[in-house]
Amino acid sequence: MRSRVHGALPTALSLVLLASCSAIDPTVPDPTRPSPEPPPSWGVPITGATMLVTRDGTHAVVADPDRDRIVSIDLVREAAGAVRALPPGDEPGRLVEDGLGRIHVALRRGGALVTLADPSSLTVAERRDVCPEPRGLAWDAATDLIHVACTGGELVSLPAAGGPAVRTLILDRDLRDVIVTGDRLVVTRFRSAELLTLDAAGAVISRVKPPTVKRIVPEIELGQTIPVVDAIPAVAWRTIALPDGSLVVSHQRQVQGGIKTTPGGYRSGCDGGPVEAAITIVRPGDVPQAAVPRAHGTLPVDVASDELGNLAVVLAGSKFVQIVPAASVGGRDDDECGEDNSDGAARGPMIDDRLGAPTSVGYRPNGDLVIFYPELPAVTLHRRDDLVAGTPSTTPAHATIELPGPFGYDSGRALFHGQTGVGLACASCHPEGREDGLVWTFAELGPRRTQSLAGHILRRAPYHWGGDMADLGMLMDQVFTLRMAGGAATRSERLSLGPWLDRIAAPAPVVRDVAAIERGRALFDDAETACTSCHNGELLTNNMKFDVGKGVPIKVPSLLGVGARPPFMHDGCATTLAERFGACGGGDSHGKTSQLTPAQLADLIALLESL
Amino acid sequence: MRFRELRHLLQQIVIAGLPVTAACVGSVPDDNVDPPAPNECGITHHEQSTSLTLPAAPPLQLRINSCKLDVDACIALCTELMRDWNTGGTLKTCDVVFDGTVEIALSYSIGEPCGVGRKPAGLVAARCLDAPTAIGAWLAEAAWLEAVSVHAFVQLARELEHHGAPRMLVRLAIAAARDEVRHAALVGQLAARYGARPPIPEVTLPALRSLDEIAVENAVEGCVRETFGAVLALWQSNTARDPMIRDAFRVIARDEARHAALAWMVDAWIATRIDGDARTRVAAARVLAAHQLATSPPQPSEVLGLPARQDLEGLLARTQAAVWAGGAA
Repeated sequence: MRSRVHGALPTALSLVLLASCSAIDPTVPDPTRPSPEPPPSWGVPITGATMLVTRDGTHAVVADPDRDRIVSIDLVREAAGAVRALPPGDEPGRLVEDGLGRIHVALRRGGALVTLADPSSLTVAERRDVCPEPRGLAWDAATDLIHVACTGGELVSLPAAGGPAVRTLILDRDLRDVIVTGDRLVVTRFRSAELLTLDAAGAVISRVKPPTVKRIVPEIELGQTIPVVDAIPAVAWRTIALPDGSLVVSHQRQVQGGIKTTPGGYRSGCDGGPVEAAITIVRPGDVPQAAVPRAHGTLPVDVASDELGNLAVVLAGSKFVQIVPAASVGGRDDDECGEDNSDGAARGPMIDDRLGAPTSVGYRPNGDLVIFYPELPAVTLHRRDDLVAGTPSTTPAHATIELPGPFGYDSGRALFHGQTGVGLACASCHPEGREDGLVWTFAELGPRRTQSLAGHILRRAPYHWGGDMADLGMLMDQVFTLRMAGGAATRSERLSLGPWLDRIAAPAPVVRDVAAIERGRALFDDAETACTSCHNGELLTNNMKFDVGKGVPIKVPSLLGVGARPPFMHDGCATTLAERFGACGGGDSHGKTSQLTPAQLADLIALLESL
Repeated sequence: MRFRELRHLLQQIVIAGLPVTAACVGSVPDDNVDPPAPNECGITHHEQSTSLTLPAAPPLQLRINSCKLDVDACIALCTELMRDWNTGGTLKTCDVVFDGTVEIALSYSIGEPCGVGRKPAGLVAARCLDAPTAIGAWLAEAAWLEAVSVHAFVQLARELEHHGAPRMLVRLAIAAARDEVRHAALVGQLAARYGARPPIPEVTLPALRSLDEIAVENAVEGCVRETFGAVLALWQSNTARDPMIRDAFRVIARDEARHAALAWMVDAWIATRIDGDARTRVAAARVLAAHQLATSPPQPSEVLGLPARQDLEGLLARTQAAVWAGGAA
């Protein structure tokens, strides 16, 4: 749980500071004192899994998205090595090592794949444009290709040795990780946690999701029957392959018990919050299996496996790494509270290095564990013998290797990712500063689809579908402090969160059929369709509220990146943009589109996908 | 009452109260707690200062850097120091000066904890706890209570077998004793982190007793203290600031709910074998034990996740309404 100012402390602290500073000109910063104003915004949303440990275990390579650089760490000498600076805004993400020891790094905002000659020098061998938002990477030993999964739905295959792409497939949007299994590829989708299996020709031959499990939802009123609800899979942060060929998906689940706008109302389920961390195992030829949840915490952004199948799960919101022994991974989640009822089952240690939020983890071949902490920045090294079940969680790191470069601090960023009293972080529902693709049922409001925070949030007030949150301060008070049980935000957090969020870019547009997009733009701008009467200006919203045939006034959402965030409408009734123009979209009370032909609607949708 | 039913009920009891503390302000600061009465647990205030040379150890350096950039982040620095010093307690003031070195002066208050759990007949009271901090003292006492519970369950199994109880009850009592061995080790490790060492339990087990005597002890120690111990452990697993304590008490809460369920099953079995007067004595003992819990509350602690007084009262009231008021439920 996050540290928080309690009770009388703010006043007492202020008194101490005022007394100490009484003889000092307040307009001149006192270098001997803590800065009274928070520093400029720093860092990007946590995506997890931005570190690689080389196959020979000699190096770790850290892609540092907060500083736009790549850092080499010599794990034998236990020292930081080369640093490769990247252009600002590149946001390096996933990495993969090929057969010759080259390191390939996806540049999430740079839209490229950068290839480094080796993990020691980090000499840039090549930089290739791939797609607007590359995410997952895999190296295929049989073909010597690097496969790149992109948010826009592109799956691009490039020769590891260099040169242009040899294949580009267009799959569903929101791709995340890609894994090579024999002559097939498995590609995950981020928010839906879906796994697509592709044959050698690139055809999708199966789609599976982690299973839905049952959870109880304790009600406040005593004596009622305790409801059992579904906990559905969502937000697949990270998927990896185990040594036996099984896949491990580290993801979240939405406990569908309903939430409230009252203090503490965003709690549900056994662990407190309506979002729980989950591990799903996908064995070859078998249906996905929900493993016994041994990683209780928030934001399971990365998972790694050693050669024995032991797992290390990064819970960035909870600020620790949970070791899950291989023997525990096989257990099925068949308890309504997600507990393992078998007595004496092994639990792995929980690693708390007290270095802020970990984001990435990797094993060396000898079983040693490497953890990356971006703020200091540093990596820690834990010996294999300190990671076995029954080992005290307090075992300190064998080594802490501080990395060169500036210290990273942003209280708004920290608040956004920190776990609150109901086991929930802002980023639980707004992963990567965007949205979880889910519809939440509020006791007082009915269904509400999570809104994206990306794309100039500070210019989009008022907030929430009802437009009932006048500004970000009010939203923090009502949602973070009360509903999420986050406690009162500090002055620094209140000043910092907005500017930090405001830097998160909307999803990159998907541009495939330029002619269709232009035709769609003409329709969008046409006075008869009246789209621009509300969706206007740079952000494509007038920030006002209207009843668009849904029976309640709804805040006009920005259409920036709209194609990336199904389901649509405030209640999520439209699973596709086409459905938005069907019955649930409000008909001609929501613009006027009944006169459009199917071809014109397709053009309009092409435009919306490109915004 | 079966384990799963009781556990669901206890979760209702705890979660219904969570918004007030875990939610908004953590445990209520000590200032808001009524002054301690004589012989009750007390509150003490402390001041401490230190001078740090740079670079400090990485966890501390991280917080020093943050504090220099943002005065609001200094709280985390002082809290980290309190953790390093194993003080426990609630931070009150934190003053930091950067002048070549880092000069830090902080103050905090701590209170002595009290505990709940199943105690066996024949238990010799613990000697003074070997603990430099209140947190350590509470954990050491809790570890001691877990250890003495081993004896309590061994005794219960022995007596149940003697009186011809169903084999399942005997087996559950033995399993509970095994659980308590694990708990004692687990909490003992936590206590050691705070520099405390649990006392060695001294128990002289009594001769086999009558069903009437067992019923009264089971009502007090199991149906009341063990049940509320499960509630408190569940609360702590949700609210303790120390993540290791949260993790440990998640395990303990689950097991304690199972032990409480055992107590209620024993209660139901014995009720069919004792007369009306004895049943009345059992019910009276249960009411008295619940009342005593309400009059000797543990001091709130954010690190341990022990509830503030009004939250504790809520937990007791809901446990009373949902569990104890129903008698054998």
